[in-house]
Amino acid sequence: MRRLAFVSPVPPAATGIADYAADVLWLLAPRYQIDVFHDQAAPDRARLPATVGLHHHSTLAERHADHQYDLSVHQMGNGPAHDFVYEALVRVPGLLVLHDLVLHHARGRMFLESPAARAYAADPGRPAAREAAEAEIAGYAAEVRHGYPAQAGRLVPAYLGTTGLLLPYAYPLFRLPVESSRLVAVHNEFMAAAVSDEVPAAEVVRIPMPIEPVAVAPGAVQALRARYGIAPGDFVVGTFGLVTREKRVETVARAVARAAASRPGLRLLVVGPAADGQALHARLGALGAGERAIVTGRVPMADLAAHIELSDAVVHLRYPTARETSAALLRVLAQGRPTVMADLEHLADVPMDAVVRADVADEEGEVTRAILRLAESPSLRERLGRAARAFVAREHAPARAAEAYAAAIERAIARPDPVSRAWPAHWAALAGRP
Amino acid sequence: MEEDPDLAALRARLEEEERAYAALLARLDALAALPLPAQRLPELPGKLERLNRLWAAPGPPEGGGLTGRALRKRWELFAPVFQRQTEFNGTLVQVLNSYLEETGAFHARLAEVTSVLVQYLQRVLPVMDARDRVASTLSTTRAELVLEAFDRRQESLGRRLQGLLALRDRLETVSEEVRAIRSALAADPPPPTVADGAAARAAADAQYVAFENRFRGDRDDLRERLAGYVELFADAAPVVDLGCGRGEFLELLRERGIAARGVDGNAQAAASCRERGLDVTRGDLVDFLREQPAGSLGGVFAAQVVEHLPPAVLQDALAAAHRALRAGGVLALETVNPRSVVGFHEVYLRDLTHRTPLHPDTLSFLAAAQGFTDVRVEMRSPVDPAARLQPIPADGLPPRAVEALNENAARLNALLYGPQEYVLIARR
Repeated sequence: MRRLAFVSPVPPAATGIADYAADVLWLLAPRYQIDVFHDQAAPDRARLPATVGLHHHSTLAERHADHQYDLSVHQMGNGPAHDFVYEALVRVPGLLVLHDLVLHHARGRMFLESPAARAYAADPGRPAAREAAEAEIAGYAAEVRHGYPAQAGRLVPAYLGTTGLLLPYAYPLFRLPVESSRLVAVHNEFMAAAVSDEVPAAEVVRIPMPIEPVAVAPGAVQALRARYGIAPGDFVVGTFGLVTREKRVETVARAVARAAASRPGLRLLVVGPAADGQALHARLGALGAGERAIVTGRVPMADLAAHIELSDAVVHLRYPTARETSAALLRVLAQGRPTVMADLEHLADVPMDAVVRADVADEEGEVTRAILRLAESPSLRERLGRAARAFVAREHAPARAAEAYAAAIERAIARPDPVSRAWPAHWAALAGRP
Repeated sequence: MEEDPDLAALRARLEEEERAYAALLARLDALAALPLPAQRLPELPGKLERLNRLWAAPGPPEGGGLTGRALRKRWELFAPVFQRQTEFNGTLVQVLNSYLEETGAFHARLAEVTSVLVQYLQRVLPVMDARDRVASTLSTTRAELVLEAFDRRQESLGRRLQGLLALRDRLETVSEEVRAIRSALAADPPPPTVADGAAARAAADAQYVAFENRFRGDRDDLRERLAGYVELFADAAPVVDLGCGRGEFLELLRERGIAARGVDGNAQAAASCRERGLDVTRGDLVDFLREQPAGSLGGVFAAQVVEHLPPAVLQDALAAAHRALRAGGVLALETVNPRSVVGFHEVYLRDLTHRTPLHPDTLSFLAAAQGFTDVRVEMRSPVDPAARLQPIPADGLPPRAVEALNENAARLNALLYGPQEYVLIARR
């Protein structure tokens, strides 16, 4: 049986990729002997197969030296839960599963929010603080220069001098991890094309995200309706996932408030952890959706499907986006919910007849009209739900994902380690190839 | 790393200014180290204390005897002089004490002022930095707003481009099919006149089917819209659907168990219906009705048909329907509502084959004129409320102005955004 090192955050880490990793481990565990390498104080053992080993990431190189793994699989995303994966993927190159095309925010933060860099930011007039931060700034600049040699001269000072979020989206900064891997796996065609365009030598494969519908106990939805005080004629518009600026909950709230002017009985259901629930409620109130909003916060995975089915329609907006395939969206589609989603290029894989697409140039208006149309047409809702369910069953069946993973793993094992390039010095040093 | 020349020049200037600033601050700091008199003249407090102790003249000598008396006599002789000298000494010492106290306080104040001045100058940079950050954040926010608008537009255009590319692919496929058909026809041509006519009709029919597919919505949409009419014909079998198109309404009737037939002038549509097992004839609507035995039909239905007919043909069709229906039979004619500006502009004008916009009163009059009774009109297809003019809220505005504005908005809504279609329902 092949031995895999699986480098990833795992539950209960505050990232959807941890849940994804658990799902994938259950699919791979029967076929491979797997050691999971993480960076957490207390991984949730119960969420993982009993056969997988759990180790701190700092032991990966040593374990690999003692007894070579056939392949190391690295789950990479644009959040702080993945900081430790960089070193692992350089030291033990393997299969890079790239969840987010954009890694710039995370990588920038790792360099520019180090203690020394923070001290410099707090007191930029002090030459000593500047000197202390220079190593970090130089490391960041070197990586940007490697990814974008023509733009780095302007990009680095601009990034250092701004507080905005959008700039890094235009410069995703994935070249180094891609160049340092044997094979890259992504979840959508857009990302596959983007990686190939920027790093033509990279081998890229697509792996479907494993999602399947969850059976909801009879009466569970009715019980939730009663718990949240939803009247029989009310039409519930749900939105799911960690509440961040990118989820555009405010846009959804404005659309619900607008639609409610001509369709009374609209309710807004916000499901997902929010940094500040009270502030969110206050904001929804200011947008005119306060009285009709239900903010649940984080719900247990076991209750998620019932909350999805509680929604008569779901709105899934993302902007700006790291081009990730959203498990939250696929879960909603798997449960057969009629869904309005942002019409984004990387979501072109979702069939036209399975969702209502909202043009991002007029999201609020498009969502408002879609909600009204869905509220008035049970047959449209039924038709969309049916097509959505069929799409997920067809394209994201766990068995299909398992086969795709197995094929990618074999392909990566057969490929040689990546060749050294003119990498930044700190990166080459990590790889042991200065 | 290359840097923008303008930015490099600004950075150089900033460094120069910072150097000059630091040098001046260092000079000021050095000047601020001003010693107090007590620090500069450490022997001064001791001398002052001695002066305070010595300023008074000695008193009369004490002691008895001849010598003591003689000394007192002599002291009394000089006593006025001693008294003046004592007064002079006291005043001088007081002046000196006050002067030294005042000088010390002044020097202490001067040192404090200088120290605060240095601190103030040291705060100038942080204040300028905080202002820079606020200005930078504001300009970033502006840039991000512009970038977001641009990025959204680009994303939107990207998706539209994808759609157009898919359409181009489809067009190329269809072109290939057409070329293949033409080649086949060229290889085995039918008699010229018949072939030309058939090809022209087929092309026109295909175009109209494509037109309907594009603008009337897909089959599911149309079924949903027409489903509301089924109940009208619950006891009205057999029903004839005039201009039945793709047969959506006939399917709904069949599912409800109501016997029905259709007729349509479009050969492609009629053939498509027959493929799905529907009883559809390709032919002229009026001729078809005239062929039905008098009083043999329970219902006549036509959706989006009557506006295609010239007035004389419409009158003939109404007369033929009246003849073919039995007593109590139902006539239902759905058409575009030309009283709604959006209905007229967005629905009626879009179709080149529309011949006659029919005001509801006109169609009602024509039906009644042919002998139909219980003639009534029902409005359909309301405009999306979000697309209508929105009432303004009363917040902070004069109530009468709000009322007047909202009333005007309501009137305009009725005129511009009235229901886009209506159905005339009548009985034989």
